[in-house]
Amino acid sequence: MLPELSKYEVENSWQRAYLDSFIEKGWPSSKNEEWKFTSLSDLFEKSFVLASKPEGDTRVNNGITGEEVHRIVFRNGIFDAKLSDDGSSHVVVSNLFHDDEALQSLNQYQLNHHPIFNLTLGVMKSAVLIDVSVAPADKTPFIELSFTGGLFQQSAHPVIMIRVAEEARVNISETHSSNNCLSAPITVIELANGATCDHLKCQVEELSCSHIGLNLVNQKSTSDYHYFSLSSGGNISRSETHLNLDGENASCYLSSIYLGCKDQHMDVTTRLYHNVANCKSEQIIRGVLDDRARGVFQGKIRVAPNAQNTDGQQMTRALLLSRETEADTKPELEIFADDVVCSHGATIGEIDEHQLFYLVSRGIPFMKARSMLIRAFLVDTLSQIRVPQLEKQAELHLHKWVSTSNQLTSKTA
Amino acid sequence: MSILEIRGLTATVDGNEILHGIDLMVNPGEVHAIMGPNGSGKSTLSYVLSGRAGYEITGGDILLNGNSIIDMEADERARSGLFLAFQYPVELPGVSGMSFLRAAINARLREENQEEVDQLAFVKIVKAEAKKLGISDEMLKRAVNVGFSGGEKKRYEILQMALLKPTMAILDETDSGLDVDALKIVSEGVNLLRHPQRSMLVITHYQRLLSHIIPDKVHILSNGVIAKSGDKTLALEVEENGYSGIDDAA
Repeated sequence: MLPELSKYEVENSWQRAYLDSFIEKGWPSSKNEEWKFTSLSDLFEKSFVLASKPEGDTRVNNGITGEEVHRIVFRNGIFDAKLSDDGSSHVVVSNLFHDDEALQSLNQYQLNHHPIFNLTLGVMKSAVLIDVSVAPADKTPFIELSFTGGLFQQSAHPVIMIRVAEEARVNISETHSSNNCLSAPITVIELANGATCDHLKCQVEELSCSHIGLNLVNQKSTSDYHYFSLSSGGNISRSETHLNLDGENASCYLSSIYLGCKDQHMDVTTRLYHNVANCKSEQIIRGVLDDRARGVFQGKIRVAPNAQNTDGQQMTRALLLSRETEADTKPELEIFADDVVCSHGATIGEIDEHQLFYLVSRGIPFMKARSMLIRAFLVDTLSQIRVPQLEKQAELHLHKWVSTSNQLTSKTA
Repeated sequence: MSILEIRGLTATVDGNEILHGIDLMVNPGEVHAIMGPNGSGKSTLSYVLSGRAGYEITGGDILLNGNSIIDMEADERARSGLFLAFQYPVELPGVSGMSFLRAAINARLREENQEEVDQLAFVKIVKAEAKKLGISDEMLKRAVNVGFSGGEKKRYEILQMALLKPTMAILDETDSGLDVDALKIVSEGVNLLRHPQRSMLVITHYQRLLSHIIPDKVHILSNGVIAKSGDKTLALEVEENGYSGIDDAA
């Protein structure tokens, strides 16, 4: 439990309201519908303090290289200017606290009831604003967000907002590998008319950590957002995406995979708001669960009354590698328009015994055969990543997880 | 020494005994055919030999090149030189054909303490063997067995056999679902792989396949035992009189 939040000295006076709101409502329990499958009661038990300065490991993820790469590092949840790159003419890095417009738009997400949103906005010590403008076609900027270091007794509350100007493009590689008992980051992405963003989020924290991350996206007309997330870290992990389609002919693609083993709890929650007509959204969620791990997918698609000609698709599949795993799925379609194509589907299955035997009958060792089938289950989501460097990153983390999971299984077999 | 020796083999599936005591010896280079009516235990025999889970050996022994393999897992048996061409090859969406073939070959090479084959040399070998079986480069690029016709799947099985060079190959109803032309291509592929050091067990319902792949010996499997053995003329006898005639004779 966090100590004495009521006496906490906020950085800016406006943060007080958020913090008070968190204090009033407290940590969500499973009685709250939004948190039905993911209770944060474990966090009550833990005692930790709020991180106040960059501490811990200084190693940063160096997955992406090239002249267009801009590295932004949060250590212990605090922006570390020393480890971060300066901006350029196309990528301007500034302090979010000094930008009224940015602060105002944080409010548009209607998340006043959200405990983590309130907590992080209430206690954040630093927040980064990145403005991306149009760059030459062959020089699409790469923003590498590294959340690293950290002290385990402290909780991290980093906030970053990326505003992509009209017709501009950006690639984002976001990696969470910090060692805080709780990481509660908020990433805000605002796409102006015609803007394009390819975004990879990898959450690979230690299994003792908890991660409740919010990804807030706002899309204007004809913008295109392509998101892929991979979560394999944390004892409790929840990746939430709240996305507003606010301009006509905007499209988004959200693909998430979660990989759980031991006693991990992996939650993917999406809230998609089709607020205007003629927008398209597609969501593909894949989960692989081993040992006693539990996976949760909650997916809301809300189609506003005037959002005609909406195309919203959602598909989730879970692969269970052990009999003690559990996967819960809660699709929530709220459709108020009448000319709409919306669908959702969910399947849960095990490794196909026929497929496994076919592979081993060719002399391929059991564990290798199993890895090949796990990969096969996920490969069509990975192949949707449009930026090769991002695909490579995701592939790397997937490979790491599959080999670790294999080691665990061969020990118990 | 025989390549395959089966001694008094009994086996159960879900607690029911299907094989009641099979004895069989296959010498180097020989092709033996196993014929039998539906439910006689033909496919069970192929799965028991290849070590499929759920097929439990309750008695007897199986020797491959003189060594017992009944305590080996399916993958170990395969690496020891056993190969099963499936009656129904399994589709593996998301598993690329080339990486599958490479994993299989490298597993075999590692077992023999040989160096793994490099990517370029591997592609060359696969393409050469595929050409003999009329398998196109485009087909090689697809996921394993996905989108293949019945005939293509069977040819792909023979391709794997050609690449893995087993000492003992079991062909489980390789003729099922094949038209005349496909049967000819597959049989020719199998005949090309006949070798003094390689033996084959050809499991089939019909004599048809055996006029393309001429067996040295023919066995009739009936109710989980070998009811009769003979030379290739036994297959013609079955064609003429049916299995019931054979059962009477036995």
